[in-house]
Amino acid sequence: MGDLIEFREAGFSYGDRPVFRDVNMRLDPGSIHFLTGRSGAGKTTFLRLLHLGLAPTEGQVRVFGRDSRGLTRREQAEMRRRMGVVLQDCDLLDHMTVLENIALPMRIAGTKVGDLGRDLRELGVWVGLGRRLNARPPELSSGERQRAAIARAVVTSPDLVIADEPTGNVDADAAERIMALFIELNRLGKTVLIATHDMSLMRSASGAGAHVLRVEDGTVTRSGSPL
Amino acid sequence: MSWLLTKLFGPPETPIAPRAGLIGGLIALVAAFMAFVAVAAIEAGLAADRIAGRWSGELARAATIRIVAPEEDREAVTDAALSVLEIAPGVAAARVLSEAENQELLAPWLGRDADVSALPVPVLIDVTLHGGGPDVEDIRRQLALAAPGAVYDDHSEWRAPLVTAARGLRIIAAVGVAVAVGALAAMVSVAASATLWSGAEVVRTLRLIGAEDRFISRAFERPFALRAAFGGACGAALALLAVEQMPRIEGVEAIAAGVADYGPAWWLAPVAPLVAGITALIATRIAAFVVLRRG
Repeated sequence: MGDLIEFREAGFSYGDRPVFRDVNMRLDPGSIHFLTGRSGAGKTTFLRLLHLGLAPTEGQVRVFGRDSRGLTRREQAEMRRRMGVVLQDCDLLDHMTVLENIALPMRIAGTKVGDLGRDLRELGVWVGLGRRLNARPPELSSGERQRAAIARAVVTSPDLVIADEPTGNVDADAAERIMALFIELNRLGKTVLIATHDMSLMRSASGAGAHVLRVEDGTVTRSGSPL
Repeated sequence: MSWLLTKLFGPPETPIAPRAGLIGGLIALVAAFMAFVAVAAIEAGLAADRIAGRWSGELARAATIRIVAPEEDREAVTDAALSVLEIAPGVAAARVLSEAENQELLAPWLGRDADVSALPVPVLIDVTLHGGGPDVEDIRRQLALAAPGAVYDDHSEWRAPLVTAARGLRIIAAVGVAVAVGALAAMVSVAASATLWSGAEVVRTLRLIGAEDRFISRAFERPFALRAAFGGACGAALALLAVEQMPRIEGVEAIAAGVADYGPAWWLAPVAPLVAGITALIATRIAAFVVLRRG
């Protein structure tokens, strides 16, 4: 399998305000990375470049071997289906149950959800929401919402899982459980990228072989050795 | 119906778009109004068309010859005209109207008690035609030669305004239907755009997890189309029932007026909701396409 993500002298500017430039880095299959940097340094912009929400203003961002700028809208959607995304505010649909939210990527992929009830419930149990699957998102705690979002992100077994401040709104215990899920996903062979400024979260992943990508002074650097 | 819905929208699952709520109700209401107007316009157009067609058809199957000649020559001219008609192609029968029939014709203007014999009423020959009737120019020429004073009237002067009036009513009905469909489409477009903008979070989430524009659009099409179809069914049913309740002309007068078979066009009952639903579906799809491209 080739590189999942590769930045080639990539840069991005909002108008004439550069966020970063000359970024060269790649995410190898099966790796786990933390993306860190102070607030406003450009972590979210970096993730949006990965997730095709933005296109680089310089250089190339190659996603699954394709230059992100040459993709049609349909191809962009296709690429996104190969990624699982967890955001700080979760983005669950409030009018659906947790189970229906988890199943949503399957429906988008055109899979008949009716036949997958058991698998979906097992996934719900895996993220610790076995008894909350019929609840609606507004009835859940922040930690439960994050875990539902993680289940939704991995339900189609994507190649890459991206999380933006996944523990930003949860207490320490919930953060630890969420981190444990990401490490387990990585052990299952998934490539994981977590944007966070929570040092304790990164420390909790020591031993998992995680690298750190630091967004700083208009560029992105990668730590030499794993945490 | 459920097969068609599944074919059009996919299997029934929890709707991805949030409930249409007030906007959905509004779409149903507007669709009901528009279906009522469209069905009423079609009914009016059909009735006018039917009556005009019947009258025009009857006029086309007959002709009249007026004998306008001095009193002493009338009988001879009439006989000569009948002789010409007897051998003319396209003429099935010809007979001179009796005095009583002349009186009946003039009754609306002069009353039934008027003494018609005292008036200079021309002799009238009622001609029944078959096929396309005779060649008008040819028979006029023959009558001019054999029976001067006999004037052949093929009723085209009477038929033309009827046909024109019927065509006008058909156009008005078509415009009425087009306006109703257009208004419904415009209303649904505005509603769909508003719903998509207000549901930006839902759209963002769907995009985030890899939904294509077509999938997002379909998520919003189904509730709008179903509500428009429901409204269309209600509006059409009300319009058809209103037509059914209208006072009827019955008996011989109805047959004479060509309205004996007048009644609601029940085929509109399934057609109106279908048209309303498809209109809403297309309008939502176009609105969604525009909004999603901008968003």
